[in-house]
Amino acid sequence: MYGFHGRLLQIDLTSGKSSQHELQESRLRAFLGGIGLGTSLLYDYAPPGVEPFSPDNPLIFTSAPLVGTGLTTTAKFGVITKSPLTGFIGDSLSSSHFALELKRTGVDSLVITGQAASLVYILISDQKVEIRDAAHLRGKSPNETQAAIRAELNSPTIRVAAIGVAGEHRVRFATISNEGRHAGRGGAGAVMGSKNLKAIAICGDRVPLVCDSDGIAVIATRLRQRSLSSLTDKYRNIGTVANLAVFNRLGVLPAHNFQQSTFDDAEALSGETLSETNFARRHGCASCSIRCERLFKSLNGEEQRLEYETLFALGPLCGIKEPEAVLQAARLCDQYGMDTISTGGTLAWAMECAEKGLLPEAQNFGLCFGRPEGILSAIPIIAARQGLGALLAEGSRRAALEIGGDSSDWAMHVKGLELPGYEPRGLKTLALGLAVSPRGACHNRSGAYEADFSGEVDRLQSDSGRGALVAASEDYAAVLDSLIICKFLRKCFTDFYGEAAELLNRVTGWDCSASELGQIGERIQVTKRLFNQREGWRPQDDWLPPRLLSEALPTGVAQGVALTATELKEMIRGYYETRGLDENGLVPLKKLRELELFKPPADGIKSCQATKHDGY
Amino acid sequence: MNTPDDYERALQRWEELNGHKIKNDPVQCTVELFGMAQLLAKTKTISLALPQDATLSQLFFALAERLPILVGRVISPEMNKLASGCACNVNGLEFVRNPTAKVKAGDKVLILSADAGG
Repeated sequence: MYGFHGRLLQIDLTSGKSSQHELQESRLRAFLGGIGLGTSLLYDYAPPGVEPFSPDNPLIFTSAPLVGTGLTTTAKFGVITKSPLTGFIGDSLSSSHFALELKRTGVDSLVITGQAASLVYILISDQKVEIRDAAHLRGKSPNETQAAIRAELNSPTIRVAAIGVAGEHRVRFATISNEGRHAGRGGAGAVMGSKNLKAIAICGDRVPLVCDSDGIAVIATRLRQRSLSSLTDKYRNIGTVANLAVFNRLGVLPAHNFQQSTFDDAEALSGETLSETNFARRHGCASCSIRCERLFKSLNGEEQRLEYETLFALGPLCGIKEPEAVLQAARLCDQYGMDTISTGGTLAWAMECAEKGLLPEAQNFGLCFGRPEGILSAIPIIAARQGLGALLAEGSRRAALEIGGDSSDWAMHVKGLELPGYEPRGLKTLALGLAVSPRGACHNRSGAYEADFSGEVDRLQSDSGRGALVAASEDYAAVLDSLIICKFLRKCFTDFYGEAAELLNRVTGWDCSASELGQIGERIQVTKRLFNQREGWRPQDDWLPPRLLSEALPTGVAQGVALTATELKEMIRGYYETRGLDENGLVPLKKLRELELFKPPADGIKSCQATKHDGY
Repeated sequence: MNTPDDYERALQRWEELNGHKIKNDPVQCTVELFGMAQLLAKTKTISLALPQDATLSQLFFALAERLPILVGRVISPEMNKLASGCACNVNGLEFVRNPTAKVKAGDKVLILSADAGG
């Protein structure tokens, strides 16, 4: 087999035992690697209805066929589990050297189950698995954990993915972090913490064979050249923080917990301003020519990576205008290992509750829009689940259910996952993308906003045709996330499916066509829905927060534009139709057969649910 | 040599004197620069006076003449369209892909990255 090892490593932390299993080529061809492979494995390894913090909930790490080939932006890995924030699939990507090292371990996936009796870390080296005591690592940040493990093993090149204090305390939006990158959304870090697993340290020397290394080298050169063209200028020269000023001008910058769609002080936080005043240096992942990361200097000279989503969530969403405060809040989230979007979203919800008299503890704590001290004090207590922090560590949906009153109306989430920094009322294709996304309010598993920003459609209007755009965008993202190729390279392809199929074939020796690749994307997406369906998904879970459907855009150029429930229903109907789902959004047998996901159940009972993918 | 700004001021003076608009009034519009365009140009906005019925293509040409630094990175080398990776929005509302679209008096034309990923 080329491009893959064809092996899976299962580690049971309860027994301390590990075992390797074959990964059949048919499964790899059906789901590729990364998010696709992880989705397929989650379906099979998670017992139906498993509690996210149960030892039985598998925490799955996946590599992918393009990883380690030298192709730009492909040093990535997937982390897939049942999310403690949403109760549905939680799939994240992280990147850089850990991804390359994971590939060298000689397996395509780690499946971690069970729960250790005390805090441990896993060491995988020379094909051996060792479970080691991690009591001395308790309370350390992911960076400190890597440094400590390297020192302990006297191995400066070993790669570590770790949780911070938030993961140890099962904060439902805790991250798994490596080299300053994060498997961020959905709380995989909390699942890792629930297993008493502080870190995974890996060092390998097994590189899978590539079928046509000369052919890959030619494509790698071509892609690298394209990655340095004006197509990626934004990422290379300002970074994602460039979004802030543009979104503000277009009236789609959520502020004050989505009570505003512009931010009066956006100028102070814009990427252009930060580039002039706080820029420290540019950094990149391993094997990446784009190098999108921007590090900014705070007042005391410390460097902090900042992305648009972090800037939005800890800035305008909470009414914070001081760059120094946002940088400090971002630093705290990184140290404790917390998803910045959900952190900002939950804090903004608490601020609104405090403003409206529903959460006096938050008000007493100083959680008010525009007050940096409030968020800087709150982040550590969330990470440690102390006092008010214990409530906020549950995320906005659960916290609102506990507080009651109208507070659920102000919890800006889909399926429990807090919204990213794109205002759905002014980006109606995105609105649909967020509503139907299997992992919740996610801007990464589909690029639905691209249609809104392209001029292909009127971003302020809606129609049932948006369903086809969202479905196509999801399939495309699923393929990117499973090969894996960074989305910041996506515009460098002129015929994505054709070029990606060629890449895949040169790595694996397969004869995968562009259309087969497209179908793989659809299969991955439908399998995510199947998983959610099995775990209790209901049609009302494909929906948006009440505020977005009852209040028109409050500020900005599109002030007064609304998104109605009728519009959203119509877009969802169009999406289900395009996807071949039934009118309730369930996956019918016909679709399962079409995607080769259906195996007749042994008991003869017909069901809309796929059976295990034994065929793969 | 007179600049477009000189003509703009002169025409404005005649308008004020006569109390009405003169024939062939140039189209005044504002270009707002974001991201790379702003960093390269070291300015956020620029006013342009264009002929009646001017198109976006003509606007890009006029902009390139005023800010040659944008040619290649933001405006295509032919100076009649945007470079790959850049996009154009009119008045914050409509993304316009067709360079033959007409520019109206008072339009604010935003030049930004075509990639909204974050």
